[in-house]
Amino acid sequence: MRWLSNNFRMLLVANWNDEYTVFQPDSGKTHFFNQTSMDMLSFLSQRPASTEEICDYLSRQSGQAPDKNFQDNIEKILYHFDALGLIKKES
Amino acid sequence: MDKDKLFEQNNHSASAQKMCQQSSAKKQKRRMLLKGGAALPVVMTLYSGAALARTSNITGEAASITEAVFVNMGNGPQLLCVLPKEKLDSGAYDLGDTPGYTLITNPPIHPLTDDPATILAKKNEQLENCHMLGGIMISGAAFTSIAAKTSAFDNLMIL
Repeated sequence: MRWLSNNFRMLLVANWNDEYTVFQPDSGKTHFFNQTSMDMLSFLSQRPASTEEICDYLSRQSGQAPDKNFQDNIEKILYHFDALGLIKKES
Repeated sequence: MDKDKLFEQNNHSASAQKMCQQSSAKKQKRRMLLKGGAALPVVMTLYSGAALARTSNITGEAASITEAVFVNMGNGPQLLCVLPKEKLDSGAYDLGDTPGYTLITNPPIHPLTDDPATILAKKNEQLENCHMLGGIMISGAAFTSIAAKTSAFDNLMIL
């Protein structure tokens, strides 16, 4: 299964020294992201990707080797993003 | 100042300092978490009444037809087609103080006789007709937010 961002260009993003406030106009919600979350979302705004590809990308960004725990956390955030309407499954 | 009072004052001062240190440690921990010390993603969402407190009616089009609002006035679901005042540079739409809308009746949807695939196809056709009028579909969340502070959508029954 692959994920892609949903209406990424609609989001209003403010960078606060590598922490981000993200206003989502279609839900009226405001989110707070750290750098890793923003990396995930902007990565998915460029192309659809699987959980494994996202983990690989984030590992390269942070210089950390991915482990099962890391992948589980990424997957949880992906489902959370999906529930918020920030990403969707590729049809 | 007697000895007991001095002790009490020092004690208060020490406990205030301790509280301050604890608060600072908590803040530090929180900063570590937010900064992603272990490169873990963090997402927090403001679920307060902020959506209802918006002063303008700015929204995006619903992401898909399945999220759009349909109204049933007794003759089947009709797409709520909202007519924006203008499209902003960000891609969002400003619906104005009192959003205008029209219900799309064509093609008519018959929930009791149409199969799910037909209903979906007809909903998409209604969306095309809405776009031809310059309108957009909005999500349930956007509808709720706007309906809470304007009377524009009063008396609509949402499916």
